[in-house]
Amino acid sequence: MISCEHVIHELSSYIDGDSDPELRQAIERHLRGCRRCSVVLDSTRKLLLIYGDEDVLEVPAGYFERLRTSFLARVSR
Amino acid sequence: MTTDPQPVAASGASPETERLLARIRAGEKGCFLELIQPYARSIYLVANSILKNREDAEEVAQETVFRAFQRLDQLRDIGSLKSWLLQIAVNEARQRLRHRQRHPCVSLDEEFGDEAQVMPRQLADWREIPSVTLERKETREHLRRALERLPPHYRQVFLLRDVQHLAEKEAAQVLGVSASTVKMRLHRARLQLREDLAPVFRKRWKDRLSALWSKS
Repeated sequence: MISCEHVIHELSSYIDGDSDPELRQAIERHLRGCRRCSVVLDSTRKLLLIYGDEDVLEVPAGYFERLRTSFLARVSR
Repeated sequence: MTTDPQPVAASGASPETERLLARIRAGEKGCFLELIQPYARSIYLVANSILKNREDAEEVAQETVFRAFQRLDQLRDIGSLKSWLLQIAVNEARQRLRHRQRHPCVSLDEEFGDEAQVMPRQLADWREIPSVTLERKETREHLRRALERLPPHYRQVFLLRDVQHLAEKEAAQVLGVSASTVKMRLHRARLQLREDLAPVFRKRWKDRLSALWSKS
């Protein structure tokens, strides 16, 4: 049985599907018996869903218009 | 200084992109804005992840778009337009940061150690997060601040990989680091952000109890 430290160390690769099959199975066995690591995995996945929505981080009001104005002014010089 | 870009290879480009490239070639410079429009937001966010200053990030975004237009002939594959633009944004932002700090010799890659192992301490379940919660200004502010609290290199990697969804190799190329460095920094960024945001998103048992009591 692999340790919690080992599972946490591999967590990102596991989420990204980069772990080799043997390690993946070992992690899954561990997760079935370890509520703490399961919670960390679940909340990390939720974190990625939250930030993965591109609208969650905002740009300043008027940004696109100022970008356009600046560009057109510079290329028309 | 010329502001007329040479044509870029349009192999594999969508008909819409090919049409835009043809119009840019024909001298319709404004069409360049349409070409980069899908990435304008990403350019700002990446610049801000380095500069942590809205005004500077916006100026860098403007500079990035102009530079990209000037160097369009250097873009070999239109399919990599997004990572190419973000690479220019990273370089422009780093240049501005050096200028701001007036320490041109400080290595931007060694501001802190990468060795520390992050072990989770916040072990409460996170509740399901409805989209209505994410639309709240307060929640967005928590997310923005948590990202700003990350060490710069964790923040930049997280933004490119988990917000902008660049592939590991693309993020490595944009930041000028190895793929293994991207992997390691991303792992730590995720754990640290999770830790930081746990108090915001964990299940609020007390809230639920108060709600029950208020009904009775």
